[in-house]
Amino acid sequence: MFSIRQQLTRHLFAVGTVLMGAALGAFYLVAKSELAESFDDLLRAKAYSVSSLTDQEDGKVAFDFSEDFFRYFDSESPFTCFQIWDAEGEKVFASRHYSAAELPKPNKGTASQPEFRNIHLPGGVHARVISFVFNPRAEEGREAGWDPDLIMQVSVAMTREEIDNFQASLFFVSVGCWIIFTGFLFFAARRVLRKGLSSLDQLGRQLARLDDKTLSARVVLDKQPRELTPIVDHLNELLARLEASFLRERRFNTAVAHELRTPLAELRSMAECAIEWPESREPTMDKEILDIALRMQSMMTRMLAISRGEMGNLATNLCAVEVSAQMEATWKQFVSRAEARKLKVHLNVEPSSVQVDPVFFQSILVNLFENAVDYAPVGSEILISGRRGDGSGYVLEFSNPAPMMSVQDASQIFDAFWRKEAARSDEHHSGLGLSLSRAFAIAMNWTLAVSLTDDGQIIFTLATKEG
Amino acid sequence: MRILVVEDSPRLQRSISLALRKTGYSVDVASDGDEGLWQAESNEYDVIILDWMLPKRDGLELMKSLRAKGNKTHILMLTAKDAVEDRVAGLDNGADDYLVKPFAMPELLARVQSLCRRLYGVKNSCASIGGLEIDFASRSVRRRGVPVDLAAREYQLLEYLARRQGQVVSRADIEAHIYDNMVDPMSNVVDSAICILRKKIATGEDSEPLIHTRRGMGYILESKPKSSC
Repeated sequence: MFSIRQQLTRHLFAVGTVLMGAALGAFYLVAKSELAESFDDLLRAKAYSVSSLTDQEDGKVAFDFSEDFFRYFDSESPFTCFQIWDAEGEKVFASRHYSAAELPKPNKGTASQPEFRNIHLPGGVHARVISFVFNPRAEEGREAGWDPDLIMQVSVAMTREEIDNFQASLFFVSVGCWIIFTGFLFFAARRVLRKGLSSLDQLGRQLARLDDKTLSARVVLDKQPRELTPIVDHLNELLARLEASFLRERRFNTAVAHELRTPLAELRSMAECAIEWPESREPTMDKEILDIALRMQSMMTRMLAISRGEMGNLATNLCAVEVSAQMEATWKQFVSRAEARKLKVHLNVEPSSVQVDPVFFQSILVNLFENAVDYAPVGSEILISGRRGDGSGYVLEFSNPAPMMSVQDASQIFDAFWRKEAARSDEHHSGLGLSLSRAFAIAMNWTLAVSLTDDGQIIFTLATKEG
Repeated sequence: MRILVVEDSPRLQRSISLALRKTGYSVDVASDGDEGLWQAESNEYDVIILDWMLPKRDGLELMKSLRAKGNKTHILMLTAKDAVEDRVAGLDNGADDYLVKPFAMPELLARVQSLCRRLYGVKNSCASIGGLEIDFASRSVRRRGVPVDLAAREYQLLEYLARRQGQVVSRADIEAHIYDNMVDPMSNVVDSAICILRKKIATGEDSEPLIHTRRGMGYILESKPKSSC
């Protein structure tokens, strides 16, 4: 597994090091070149001064080198020496310094394009020499005798110990700067990246602390960079969904345990009493035990159906059903219960044929009628309507007052075992009906949704997905 | 001992009541929170067995109402809620014991008996008075080593007197703790029961009488009677 910080540090370090090396290298080379050029210019100036002090007098060569001139040449460092040859290569003049040395004669160098080369003077002294041929100028006022074909050769050498040392120093300073920069870059890159990636570290730490017990926590960064905002927002949305899912799961587990615990307690206590006090065994006990067993069996069957529905494994047998006729027939089962509770029921269903599984559809209708009739307040109104929707789908709505229902209740109403009344004494409602109805609706490619209006009406909407 | 069972499952209500009655307790029942609160406030119970999730008013709310009014009756919560936070909430809000469904009936009875012992400040499960030995755990009675055969209600009366040994126990107290609401307050059921109990624990002519009448006050179980002031 690679680390972003280490990778960025490595890359930044490598790029910084190479760039700095290139910059310092370029600086060194330019400086070295400039120095060499300056050195050559100085050498050229000295050579020109030698050539300019070499005159023609009546067709002969004369040298006007004064003591001041030699002092200029004899300055301590850099040492300069020169030699002058005639056209035949006969040495006609040599400076005091290195007079025994043989300076190289010019090959093709002219005054305008002199030759430069590096040589070793006696004693291994490294020097640079300039050589060219030239035509000595005529003495002032005696130009008439000037021989344009009189050619002289001159070479001027200057020790380059100083410039070599300077160039070496420049090289070492450049390398030193590069090493120091590299070291600085190494620490600076780590520090800058640590600071720059601190939000990422904080995000990682906060995520590492999350577990199923801290799902209510959300990711909050001290300084949230723009790049992390979508990640943090999505993470927090995911956490919210995960928390809701875990809460639902926990509620379901608790509900299952609770739903099973009570009938199990009934069975166990009845059996223990019957064993301990057989004379007190009630004649209805066997029937009651059977009722409990059937209730548990029904619960298990419904749970399995819900589970199959959630996995998309509910097999359907879709066929055309006349919805108004089906509604009328189902409603007849509840008329007496509605009358007993003085409910006013308005059934207004447009005739239409819908594609449903008749068994599933009937089960959903029974559940919705039953909920409306059993839970609507006594004497209230129940509105049941059916119509073609805006598209080609069909929409059925069951609406009744639900004054005790909250928005949170509505959000949990399809959870298995959810019941408004926490007590489980009502054996007619298991809390699985709506979960099962929704599973059936999904299996038939319908939707079953609930909404709560501001005036406390709960509306169940059963619709084809096209509607 | 008088127990109130507040439980909405009729089957559980019947089983628990049967077991308690067979063990010698007098039992009242309530099927929802409102009825349970009314019963608990109207009568004096030694222990209340209380379900949590009840219609109308849940068990926790009922318990809080009782405690808020200073009712100190021992409460055993009997519920399907088994999470640690539920147990903590139950005990924190005034329950003296907590039992999760499904439960073993002997365990429920033992816990009820334990709460009764705590109620009367008795930790020992046996009592001995003038040669009369009562084993509260096995609910058996012996006088000078001879077993005494008592009916459940008779044993219950003797245990109640024994737990308040040395104290004068009024008829009203006995009615309230030993007999349920079906007893006519004007009947002489307590006097008759005391009379029968005296005869049963007197193993011979020379047996020292242990249950003494304090005229106008009630009865006292002790080895040597003290003259009333």
